[in-house]
Amino acid sequence: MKKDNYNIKFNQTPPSHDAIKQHQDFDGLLNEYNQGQGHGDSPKPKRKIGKIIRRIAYAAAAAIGLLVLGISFKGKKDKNLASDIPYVNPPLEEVIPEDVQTAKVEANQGGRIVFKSGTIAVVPPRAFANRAGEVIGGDVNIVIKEYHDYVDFFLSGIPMDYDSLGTTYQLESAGMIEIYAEQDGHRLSLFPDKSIDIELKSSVMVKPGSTEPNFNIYKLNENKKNWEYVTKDKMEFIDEEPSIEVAGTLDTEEAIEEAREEKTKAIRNAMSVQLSAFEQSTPMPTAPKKPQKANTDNPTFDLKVDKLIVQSNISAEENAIQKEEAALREFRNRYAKSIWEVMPGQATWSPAIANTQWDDYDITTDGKGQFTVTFIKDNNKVDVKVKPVLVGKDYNEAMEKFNQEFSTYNTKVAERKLKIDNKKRDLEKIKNVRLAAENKELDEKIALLRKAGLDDYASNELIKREVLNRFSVSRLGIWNCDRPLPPYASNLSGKFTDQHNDDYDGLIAFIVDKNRNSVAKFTAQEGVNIQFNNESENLMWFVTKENKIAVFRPEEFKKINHRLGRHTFVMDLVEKDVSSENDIREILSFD
Amino acid sequence: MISNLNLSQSLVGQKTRLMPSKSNHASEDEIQLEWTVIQKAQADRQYFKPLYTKYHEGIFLFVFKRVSDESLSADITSQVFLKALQKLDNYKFKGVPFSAWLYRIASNEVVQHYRNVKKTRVVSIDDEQLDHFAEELEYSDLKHKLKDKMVSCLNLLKEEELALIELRYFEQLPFKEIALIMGLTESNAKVKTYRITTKLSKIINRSK
Repeated sequence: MKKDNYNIKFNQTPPSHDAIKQHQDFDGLLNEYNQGQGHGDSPKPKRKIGKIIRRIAYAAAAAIGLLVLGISFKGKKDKNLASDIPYVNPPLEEVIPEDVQTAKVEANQGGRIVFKSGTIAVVPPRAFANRAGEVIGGDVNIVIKEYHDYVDFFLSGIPMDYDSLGTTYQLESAGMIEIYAEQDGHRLSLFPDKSIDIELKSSVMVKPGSTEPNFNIYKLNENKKNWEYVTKDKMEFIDEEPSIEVAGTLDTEEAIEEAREEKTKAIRNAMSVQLSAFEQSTPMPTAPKKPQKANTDNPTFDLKVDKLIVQSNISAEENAIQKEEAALREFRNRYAKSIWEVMPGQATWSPAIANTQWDDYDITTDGKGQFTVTFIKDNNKVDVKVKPVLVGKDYNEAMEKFNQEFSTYNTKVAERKLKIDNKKRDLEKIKNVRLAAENKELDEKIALLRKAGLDDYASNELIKREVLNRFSVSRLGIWNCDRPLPPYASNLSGKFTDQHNDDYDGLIAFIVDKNRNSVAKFTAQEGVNIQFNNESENLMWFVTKENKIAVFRPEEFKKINHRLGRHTFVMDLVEKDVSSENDIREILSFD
Repeated sequence: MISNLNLSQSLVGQKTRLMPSKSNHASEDEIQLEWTVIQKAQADRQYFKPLYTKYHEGIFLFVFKRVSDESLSADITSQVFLKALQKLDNYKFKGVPFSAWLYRIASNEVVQHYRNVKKTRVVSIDDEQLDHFAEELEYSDLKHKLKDKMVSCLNLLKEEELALIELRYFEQLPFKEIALIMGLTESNAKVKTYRITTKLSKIINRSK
């Protein structure tokens, strides 16, 4: 039995107004808020410049500066001893970061710097301090390195996880920037009351039709080994959401659906009209009339029929005559040997009629089998309703003829039905072809709309939007525009090897979801729980002890049988030496 | 300077069992007045108290309807207001009640809670809401079948679809606020809700 997605409860009683009020505790909340605000909203503690300089100097020497300057800790670290691993730990120290950008600014004046990537930094006057905590003047080099995608994050060694109240989240980035100031080869710091305004260009993956997503600004705290929440990212889309020519508004899909309904109705109507026309052009054969046997309880008489009046609305005499002649012919053919039986229950009938010498008589038919004989004498007329009947041998012969005619009639009816059925089938085929053609055209229009991001109702597709992140940097270092995401739930345990049956236990695995701008890490060991989104495209890799890359590609992820709950990941060890960012990008491509 | 006490009285004056639906009755003046309080709270978090007092119950009930547990609702509500305090500097006035922003945080917190505990999310409906929604769906079958059919239908929805239905039909929020809570444009919220309703109407009326 399929499990319900939701636990639907009807008419549950909520806690009372008073009960809810018992849970109110604004003072407690405010205390909690104040305790959690080392930075940001609560009044900032006064810090001594000397301490700041020492912290930055330590941090720079420990990790970050090495990133920008490309200095290596080679030979000093053991990848298997967590306590020895620097918090910012570039996995391939031989690969020098590219796109480090530098610009000069006069420290006393400050200025607006537009870097070649489009990122803008607005530096206030007299913002920098030297190691002694003294304000400095003269030219200062502002150095930035931007990190925009998983390859950047991977190469930087900057952690992308975030610990908050004991829960570890993965950070999805909308752009990260590392910023430093130098003068004569010495690192500078920012005075506490100064900040550099940054406009960082980057991109995010969003659902079509969304507004700017909520991202935060975090500052990396190397000492505390965590990201510090600073403020909300003032993010702004700077590109146009993809659109197409087909349709004007978001309601277009509804208009298309309405058109589909109308066109379907029109096609069905047209087919119905054609079928009706065909049925009319193939008339139903006339059924033979069964001869009537005389009822011996009723009186009968014999009258020669040489004229038959047909009751009709037709006023034109010519038509009336033609109709009467036709009726007479049919009568003589059908009722040649018949006599007239008086219909029972008529007030006008009396046995005296049979004994009267009449001057004349008329026989009238309504054309539907009803006959009236009008006896005429002087000015007197007597109407008697009669029917033609047969007796004895005449009846038997008529029945024999009727049976033959009825058999022929049935054959003709069956033939007609077959013709109509065939026609109906042909028309149905034509209708289906036309409907399919119409539907195809309309489906294509809808697909175009959806592709253009105008309708994400039926899909989980994400689109890439260019954004501008605005924030202020109050300390130099690494700043991230991102949001915390919970790890994927997964019940898949892994074992890791490669085409040479080498063991990967103890190495760091990197894993990326194509739709999340982040890199997750875990240490490989048999049975470790692998967390990834199996509905997305994923890429996983290791850096081996020989500094080679071993990859598990998206197509291999798709082959995993999740029902087994475990999988042996056979990595593709790439023999090529990696020495540049381009080498890495070639190997770690989703394409 | 407007005193904290005066603000509390003016904002808390509406002694209602505050559900999100009540927010759409807030007049422009009330929203503007609220904005002045928010600005003061942005400068000093002590001034957040009238907002906390006004919306605590509404947020509590919003959460309760989704978790069905008083103690848990209290925890999540507390977390919602803590986050509100932390993010308050980034709050921008958009002409809708402050509650919409709080409900957005609350909605995210509920989603987060269910991601963490991996339990089935609670959906609360009372008879009046059920009848109202059945009317929207043009439900014409026997009334005693309605609850079972509604359970089947709602179980077909994705989380975002369900959230739209809850906000629009069970909590009767205007689309402007729904858009803010869901992080959508107003027109997108309308179109999505219309389509979900059409889909559900077809399903619920299909087999009688």
